[in-house]
Amino acid sequence: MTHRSTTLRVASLARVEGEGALHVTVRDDVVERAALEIYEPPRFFEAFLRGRQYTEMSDLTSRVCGICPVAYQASAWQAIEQACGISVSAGIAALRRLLYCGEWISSHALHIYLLHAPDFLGAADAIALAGEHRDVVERGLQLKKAGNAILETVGGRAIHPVNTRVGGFYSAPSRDNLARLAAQLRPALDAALETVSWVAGFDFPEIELAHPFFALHHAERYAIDGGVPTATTGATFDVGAFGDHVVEEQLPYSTALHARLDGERYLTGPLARYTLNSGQLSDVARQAATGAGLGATCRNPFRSIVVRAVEIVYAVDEALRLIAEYEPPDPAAVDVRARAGVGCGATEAPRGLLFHRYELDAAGTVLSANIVPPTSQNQATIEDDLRAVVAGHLDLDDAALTALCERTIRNYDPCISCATHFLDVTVARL
Amino acid sequence: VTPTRVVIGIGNPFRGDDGIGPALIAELAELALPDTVLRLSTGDPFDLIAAWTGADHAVVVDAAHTGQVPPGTIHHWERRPAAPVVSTHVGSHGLGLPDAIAISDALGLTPAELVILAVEVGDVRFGTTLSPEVARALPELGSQLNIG
Repeated sequence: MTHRSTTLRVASLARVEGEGALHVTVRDDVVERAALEIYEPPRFFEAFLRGRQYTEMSDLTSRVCGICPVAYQASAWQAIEQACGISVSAGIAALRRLLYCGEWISSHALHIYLLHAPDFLGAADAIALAGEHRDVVERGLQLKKAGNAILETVGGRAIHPVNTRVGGFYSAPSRDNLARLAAQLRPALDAALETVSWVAGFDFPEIELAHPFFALHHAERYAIDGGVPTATTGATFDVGAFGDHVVEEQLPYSTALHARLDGERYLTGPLARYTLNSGQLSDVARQAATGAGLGATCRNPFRSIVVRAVEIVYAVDEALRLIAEYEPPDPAAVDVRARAGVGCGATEAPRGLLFHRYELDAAGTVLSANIVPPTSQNQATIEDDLRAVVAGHLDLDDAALTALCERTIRNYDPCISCATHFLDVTVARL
Repeated sequence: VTPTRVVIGIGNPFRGDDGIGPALIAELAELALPDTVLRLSTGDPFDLIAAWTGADHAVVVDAAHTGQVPPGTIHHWERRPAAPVVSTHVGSHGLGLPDAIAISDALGLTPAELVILAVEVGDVRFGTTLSPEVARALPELGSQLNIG
């Protein structure tokens, strides 16, 4: 093969959450650099959270992301309540988990149907997909609506829920309201199972990621709204020790910090969650996973679409279980009094482990805030995967190679929008 | 049956002028308008389609950056943007309002009447206030909606 010297620039990378850029440099057929630039506002948020009240953290941080606001709220509640020495009742915790299930369903449905599936079907985008497979995209819309219905019924509205607060909820939905919700979720369970069968039929390149996987693990249930940070390396530690194990470093080309777990790059998100917790899926979700050809673990990033589909099944099924057992918590919120202290919280956002840490003074004023979103944890691993993909496909022309890089990035569903819009891609062959 | 209208505000209130959509929705919410449903959206296509499905008349209020007119100018488009638009809304993904309309059309779910009122932005840096030029568009948006 001849050594070429070209520079290619793609105006924007579609179907990725947010704003960023990818720069790949190939010199004499060796991949010199694969850098994913991310412009990430959580850093900005951390600065403006200082000096605000402890009761405001969940609402303010939920604005980091329009796709996963509940994740931000939930990690914030957990951290603030820990700092204040409060535990909520089992009923409030269950209602929070139900709300979180809604976010998983909505977020995963969006990614599977509008962002990721076109890659496997040779469709240019979701518009082409809607034209060719109307019934399929309608099913995605049905799931999105089901997720939104949970968010609206429990959280008050679909984006940036307003019925939630530190300590619980402003008001708990009635059993009748949730019964109506269950009526909408039952057909959504069928749609979720059909989604698993559909994506299981896609063609998947055979790739296995060797990196450590990192996710929460909960003793009783598939980790969503809490658990113990656990890695496939065997590492497991209290949420409060997160900062001792996960160390972030600043890189010159990105506003996102690169994280290392005990010195190694690692992956958080659906693949990690599934690999560490698949034994805790509900029967219907486990059967769907088995039927889709998933084993107890999954290390192929292309198959993340199958894992997301299985997680939708689980989230719908879990929501139905929570509704069946529902008693409105009374009171709907516990009193959370400020005190000086430090609190940490971690939950499983759709894209992976989301960590919050706050330091409060005695009046509840936030002295410092630290947010570690999943995408910045995954950034180093995404770049490593990109280097391997480019190195293995140098025979492709620039356009095809760029398309493959974009696809590789979409496997991880990066929430760069914990940032904003455009991803410029450049490939330089020197 | 009274025809229903849905007014959908897109934008991020933490990005300056990008918050024009939510700002209008907040003003309209005070008026408790009959037969008008108010929605906020991040611009996610599924959410937009769900928001306007079943309505006779949908109005989408968004921020836009064409760079061709002064900030605060209101673009009034029927069915789809008539100018090349750089969507300025933050916190969504690679799909924008034109994509949402195209998907909706393919699914046969677009309302008979769809109007886009897009306000040309000036400053979309981090911040929670609208620039004076863009804030002055609020009453005009109300009158284009036949309110006030």
